Amino acid sequence: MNSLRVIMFLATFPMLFIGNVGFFSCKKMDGRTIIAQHLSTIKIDENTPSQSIELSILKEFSNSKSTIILELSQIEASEQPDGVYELWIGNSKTDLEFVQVLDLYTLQTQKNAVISIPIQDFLLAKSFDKLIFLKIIFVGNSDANQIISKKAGVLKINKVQIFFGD
Amino acid sequence: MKIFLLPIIGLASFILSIYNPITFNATKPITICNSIAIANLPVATNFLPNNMVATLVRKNIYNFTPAEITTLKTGIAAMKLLPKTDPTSWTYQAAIHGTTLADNLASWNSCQHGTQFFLSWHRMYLYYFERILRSKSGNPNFALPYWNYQINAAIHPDYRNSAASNTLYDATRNASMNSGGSLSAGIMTNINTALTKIPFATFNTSLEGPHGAVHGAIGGNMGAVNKAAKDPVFWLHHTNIDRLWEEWLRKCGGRVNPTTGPWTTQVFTFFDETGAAKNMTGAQIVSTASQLGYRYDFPPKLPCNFVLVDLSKWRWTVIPPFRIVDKLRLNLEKSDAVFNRIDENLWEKNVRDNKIEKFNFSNTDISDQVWIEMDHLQIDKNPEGTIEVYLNLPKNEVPSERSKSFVGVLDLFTASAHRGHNTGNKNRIDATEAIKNLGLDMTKLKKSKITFYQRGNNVKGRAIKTAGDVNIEGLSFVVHKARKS
Repeated sequence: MNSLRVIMFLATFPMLFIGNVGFFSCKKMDGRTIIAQHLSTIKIDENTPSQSIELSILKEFSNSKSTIILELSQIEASEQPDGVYELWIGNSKTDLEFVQVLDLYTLQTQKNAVISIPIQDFLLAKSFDKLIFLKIIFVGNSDANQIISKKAGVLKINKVQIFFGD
Repeated sequence: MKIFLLPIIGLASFILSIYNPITFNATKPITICNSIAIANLPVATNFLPNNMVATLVRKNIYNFTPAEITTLKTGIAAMKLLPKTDPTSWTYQAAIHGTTLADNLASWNSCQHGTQFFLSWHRMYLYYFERILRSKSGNPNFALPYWNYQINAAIHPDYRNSAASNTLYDATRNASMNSGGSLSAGIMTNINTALTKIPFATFNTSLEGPHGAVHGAIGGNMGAVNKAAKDPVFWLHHTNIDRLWEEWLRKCGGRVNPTTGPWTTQVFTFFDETGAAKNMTGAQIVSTASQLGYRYDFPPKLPCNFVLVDLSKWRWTVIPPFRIVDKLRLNLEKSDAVFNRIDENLWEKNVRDNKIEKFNFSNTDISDQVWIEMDHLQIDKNPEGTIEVYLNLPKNEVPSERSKSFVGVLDLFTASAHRGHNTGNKNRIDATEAIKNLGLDMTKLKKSKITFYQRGNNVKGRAIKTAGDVNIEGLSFVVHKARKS
């Protein structure tokens, strides 16, 4: 049992200084107060034209007057879609609200592939329990015959964070 | 078990937190184009063309006539014939926005994205491009068209015609868009949201998002920053973004352009139709009409500051309306109503009592306002197209919104909304600008003529008109006279 405690201490001790991802602290080194985050890759392509993720709420925000920012980062877009990617957010899989289309064009001019979106209006309008649901949907262009394109391109988002912006 | 998992998860999270690959490889090489470009070139300072005599109107591409489309194609073809080293060539102009070419010529790759200069830089860019295209087209009245995708979500047919000779076509676009497909509704929603944003910086950022989504949805060259301006649709799109900026300002409610700071002073360099380098700042582009010589085909409206009158110094005298004609039925392509028919005495009384022989338009903040007021404007049968109103349109002049006589467009929507209501509904249209342009005083106004012209909807380059039944029971002039008290 003692050795177990030593292992635990050695494994978690650095996190206390680095201020990592929310098990022990909501603060990051850059001063962000993280509300929720998702660190696995979201991939959109022809086989998976939409992806939903659940983000655990790490920090109470319902009484906040701060700006709340959703940041999609480490974005890789390796193939153009014939359409747009839409971002939806909500408090359950079935109660999602359209937030915006993703602007991958402007992203090309950035050194860091980051999309930042103020979402306090969307979050504060709903009540949340433990999870925030987020969905990225490819919406294909319709042609003149109203046939929807399935060419979803390839989009990967490797990091999603929600944090207080100020 | 959870205790065992904790360090493992913590360690994994730690590794993820330091692993921060920056990868975006949609269009290699990546153009980082938001650096400030100030070319080390001899620069002329006069930025209004000498031969510009009237404010040109940028119109919806769907309202372009076949002749105007031909003019557009002619200009583009002439630009495409020029070598890439010529600043007035198509390639050079596109490269100012962004390019994959290795040559690093003056102002290349200087577009502004993700910065406070997004809207202002593109306005300057369009302005000089328009001057070049006007020059190459040979039409001194040419103005860039815009694509209002909130009305027509498909690319204009003339831009989709794949004939080899068509300079408006770009084969790299997504197949759906080149086959007449529509942009998604999400883009339109985001544009409407952006128009609600105040102040300017927030609007600037908010509009950039759906702007980028339009680029992406069209795809091909348009989807890549360093190729986008090669596609003629780029210019339709950005003219619309510029128009949306004007639309935002017209919504008032505190929507104003920046007046201080780098936004107003930062210098960018472009090239005019002679190939001469021109410097420009944000402060030089805030008024499209007075500084750049163009406007959009919006219906006239009151300026935002109309109600912001300092009542301690000014008061408005509302001259009671004087009726000029009884019952007008518009079911012809062109209907004239000559004034001075009735209520002659009332007219004379108004002039005499209020001593307003002349209008005062000299004060840029508060000038006299003259309205044409229509009693009981009603539609019994909706005409196809719009009904334009002109004041003193010369007999042989073809009605055009560029005319000095152009007053505006009848608000048939409001009229139809009041159909069946016969009590008190009045529609007003601001005639101030036309009266100012025509140099009318009260005496001349009394003898003036009003013309209604039905402009058909443009379908595949052909104007479609159906006769409508529009009734106006009375026409009046209403004058708001501003005076120091």
